Amino acid sequence: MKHSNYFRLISAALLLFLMWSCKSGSNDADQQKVLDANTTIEKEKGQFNPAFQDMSQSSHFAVKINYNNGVFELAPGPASVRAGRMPYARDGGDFMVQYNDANNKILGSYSIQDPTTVRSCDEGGKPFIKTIPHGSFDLLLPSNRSISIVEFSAGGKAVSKLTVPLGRLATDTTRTNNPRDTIR
Amino acid sequence: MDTLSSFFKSPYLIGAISIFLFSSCKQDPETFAIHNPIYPTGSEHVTFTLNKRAGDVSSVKLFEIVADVNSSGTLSGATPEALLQSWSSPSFPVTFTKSSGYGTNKYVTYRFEVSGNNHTYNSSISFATSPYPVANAAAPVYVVGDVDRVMNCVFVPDADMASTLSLFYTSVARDIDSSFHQEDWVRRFRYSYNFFVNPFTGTAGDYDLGTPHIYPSNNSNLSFAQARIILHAATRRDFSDGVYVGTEYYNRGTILHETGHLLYGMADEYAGGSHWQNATNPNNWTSLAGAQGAAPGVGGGKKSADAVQMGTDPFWKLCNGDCMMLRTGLVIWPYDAPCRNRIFQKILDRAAGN
Repeated sequence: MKHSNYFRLISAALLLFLMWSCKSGSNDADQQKVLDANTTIEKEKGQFNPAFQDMSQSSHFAVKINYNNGVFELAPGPASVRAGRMPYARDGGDFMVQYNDANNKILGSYSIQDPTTVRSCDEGGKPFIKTIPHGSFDLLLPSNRSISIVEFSAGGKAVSKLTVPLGRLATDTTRTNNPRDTIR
Repeated sequence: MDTLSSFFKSPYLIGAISIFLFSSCKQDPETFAIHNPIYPTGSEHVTFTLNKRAGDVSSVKLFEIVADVNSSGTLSGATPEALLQSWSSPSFPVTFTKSSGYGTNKYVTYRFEVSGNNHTYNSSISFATSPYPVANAAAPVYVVGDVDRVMNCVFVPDADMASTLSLFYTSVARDIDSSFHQEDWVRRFRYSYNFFVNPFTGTAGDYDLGTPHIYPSNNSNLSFAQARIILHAATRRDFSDGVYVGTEYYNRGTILHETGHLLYGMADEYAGGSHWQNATNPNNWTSLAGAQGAAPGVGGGKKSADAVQMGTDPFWKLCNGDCMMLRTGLVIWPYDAPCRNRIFQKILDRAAGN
């Protein structure tokens, strides 16, 4: 084989390899999507504010709910005001909390793990989900004093409807150590 | 004309195209920054490290800003941003050690400026020195954004780690770097996660023994966080009560699985687990037809034939058998396409304030 033909062959092989390897690199169709998302997130994310606990930035409410064998009730005591926006998203669990105003107009909702259950995802053990028959939990609500009624549903079925008049409840904004009851 | 014609037939054209392709197919750099100790005392030296996962990096610069933080969390006396070191054509990992401690009541922000493949991006991270002066607050040890715009994880030491807090802090750093900076999808979103350590202990319960989680005494100050994780040393059968989850301090797969529930609201992918179908970007479907119908749209080359039922549970999934929402334990498994879509949506939602 002439040297020039040999060189041509090698060059063509190199070209094909580079085309293949570049295609493999750009095959990640998510790459541009991620780049765009990070550009957006970088613009939106703001900066961490170590003073956010003073609640001037944002806050949400917490009220204590007692439950006993499927019966839910608002525990006595004030609602507490807590720092930061509501941590929960609109959908994200099998237990839905819907909050309404005094005229039953829906103001919003979110979903969480059923607070009357515990769930173990540790591999190797069974069962995975256990219902705790009685206990209490902190019900988190957005900072909206129009909220008066809360409805719970689990697995798409209505479970309870409670009056939680945030506008009339006294609020506790102290940030002292308040040991919370355990789940039982 | 003959000259032009012979050029196009010559190896020179092939060579020119090769050189162009070689230069144009470089990958964007992908790097991860971390500092050590993750929660330094005022007198400890701090080492900043930038690891490279992929891509071409031509230069790196490291900057810092140091501010005072008071008991209310108010910052003051911030220094102008100062260049600590720069590197050209660096070999990785890139490290820099601050040979003097930062002092007490300090809030440090460091920024790696990374250039490569005609792109420049920044990794800007802040941390507080120990002890954090804000009473009853979780200490920021690796924070990147507003608590209302990014995901927040608080690591709580179990009472059984109270006497080995240095192990707890080391584990937190490893859990950040070996979970969130490792998993193939989550690691791409460096601006989306704040990490904290809690100054008070909790106690993780044991599912099999029926013991509940005992919350830390400052629990009411932690409800801004989507994920509250109690790291313990003893072996227990861990569980989530929807507010706290316990795990052995080294189980990074469990941390990713559980934060899959807590940060993004994803369902389990094993038989007998916790199932629901989210309204948007679900990873569980309530019908076979629903999963099959969704397959072409989720990406990752999914086909309707990939839809499988989880045991006899009335739910179907499209993720493969190694998805992180199937697994727990030590090993990190990559999230599959439906979970990736969900994670993508939730971090963008959070950034947008939704």
